[in-house]
Amino acid sequence: MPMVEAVMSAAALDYAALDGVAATIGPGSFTGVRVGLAAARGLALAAGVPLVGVTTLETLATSVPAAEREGRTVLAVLDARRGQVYAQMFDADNEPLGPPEVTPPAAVVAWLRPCPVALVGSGAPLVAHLFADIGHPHFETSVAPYPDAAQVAARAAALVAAAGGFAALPRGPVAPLYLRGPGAGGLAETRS
Amino acid sequence: MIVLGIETSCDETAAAVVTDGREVRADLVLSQLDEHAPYGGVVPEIAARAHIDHLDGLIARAMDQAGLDFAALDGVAATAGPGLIGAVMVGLMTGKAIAAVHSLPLVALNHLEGHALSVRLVERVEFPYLLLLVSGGHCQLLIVEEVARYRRLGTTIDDAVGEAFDKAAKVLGLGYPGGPAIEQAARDGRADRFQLPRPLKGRAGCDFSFSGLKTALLHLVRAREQAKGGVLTAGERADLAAAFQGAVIDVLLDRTRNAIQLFRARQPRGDTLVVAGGVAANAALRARLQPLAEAGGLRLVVPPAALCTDNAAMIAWAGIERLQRGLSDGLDASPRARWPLDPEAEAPPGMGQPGRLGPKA
Repeated sequence: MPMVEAVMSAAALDYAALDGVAATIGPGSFTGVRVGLAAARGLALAAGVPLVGVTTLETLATSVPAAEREGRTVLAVLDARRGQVYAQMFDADNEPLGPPEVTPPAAVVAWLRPCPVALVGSGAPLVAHLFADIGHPHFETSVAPYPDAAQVAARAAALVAAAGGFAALPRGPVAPLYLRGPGAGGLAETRS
Repeated sequence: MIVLGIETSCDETAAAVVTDGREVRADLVLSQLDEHAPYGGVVPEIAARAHIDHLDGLIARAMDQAGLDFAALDGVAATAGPGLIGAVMVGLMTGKAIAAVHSLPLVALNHLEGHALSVRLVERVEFPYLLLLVSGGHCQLLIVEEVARYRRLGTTIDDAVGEAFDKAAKVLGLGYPGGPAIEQAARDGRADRFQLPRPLKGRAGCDFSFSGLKTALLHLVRAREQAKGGVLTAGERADLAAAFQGAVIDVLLDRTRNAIQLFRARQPRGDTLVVAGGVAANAALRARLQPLAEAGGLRLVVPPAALCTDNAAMIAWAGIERLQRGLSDGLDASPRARWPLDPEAEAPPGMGQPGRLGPKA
């Protein structure tokens, strides 16, 4: 929260000047996602403004410069530990080609299209060698491996603009996207 | 002064609005009982997920019920520990956000202080007083000297008392939460049919232990089931529940008797024994504490049940008591899984190992 205060101060804005709040909803560390989202839901509630949730994967994919996307699909991929990755494939125009998933890296090979693939995210090294093994052309983008707050705000602003304003966005609470179950008492880790 | 209280330290999501005139303008609690019941205890990740799903909506309802805008508040108090860290974070972050947006003072509150001061929201109780705090996560005897000044006389060296009830109920197949289930079953039972140990009874000091008692019950039940080649009868279940509850209360009374002596010696002005926490709802415990308190020259005060189980009204009230004394916290306040009310209290015997002490200390 001190960082939020510092950002508002650097921007010389009151909370009342905000039109909305954006936050990542995951996938990622459960606790990390909840810390950010609890703060964002609190800010939005207290300021009386809408909250826009964006996924970490779409934020990464849409942060790839157009020149690096051109003629390729974009695979956003984060290390999910336990031998898995969080991943989602997008086309050159940022349209998702499938849902975000938690999966062993090898399964991602089946998502490849006949064009080269651009990789973004901390999980890129976990899949790059698989693509090398089968000789599929791949390319690591210049984007940093984790989303930053400016990219999150930019992605949310793009979603709002595409919808035609905040009022046109879906209503209701913005929930975390875990992709994994709570893992209680030996429960199988399944998609929730 | 009007304060919003937020509580998310365990398996209740709660929000309340309270005034310094002791008026509870809103007091909402969402229990996650159904979500945890299949596991016979609280699952931390399930708790954290439920808190973030419901907390902001609950706060909005509480403010609505109080008929207030956030701008009308004089402060925000949120539980910052001890408790399940992932659960605490949700409430504390939400509280910080509300405080930041409206430039309100934040109180990052110790959940145990909420329990300790809750009685003063409903009754005129002056400092100092003796507190028996008995809940699902805690079992302690404390001298409440003043707001923010506590002396711990004893604590559990293993299970909290509510946790012991939960485990015993699981062994007896009585369901969750265990406290009310055991109390209900014990009503039809005879406490003297089965013998169970009274850990630490008769020993000096005010610490508690329930782990051996729970294990003794488990052995008794297993032996009984094997001898009969099947399940317990309803009668046996009731007698075992009564024996277990009787043993727990014997231990609580024995330790409280020692604490009363210590309290009278250290605080001759003190005249009150307060019992707080969810287990304070146990009628058999209250009935047996009454004569013990009287014999020790103290009056017994038990806040209403809704203030004893986890709630946000006690958090808001403790926030008011702190703000009235000029005490507040920065937006950098950290959530704490472990947080003894008495910073000088030593770890109880047998609990030196790092990571074992848990939120109960």
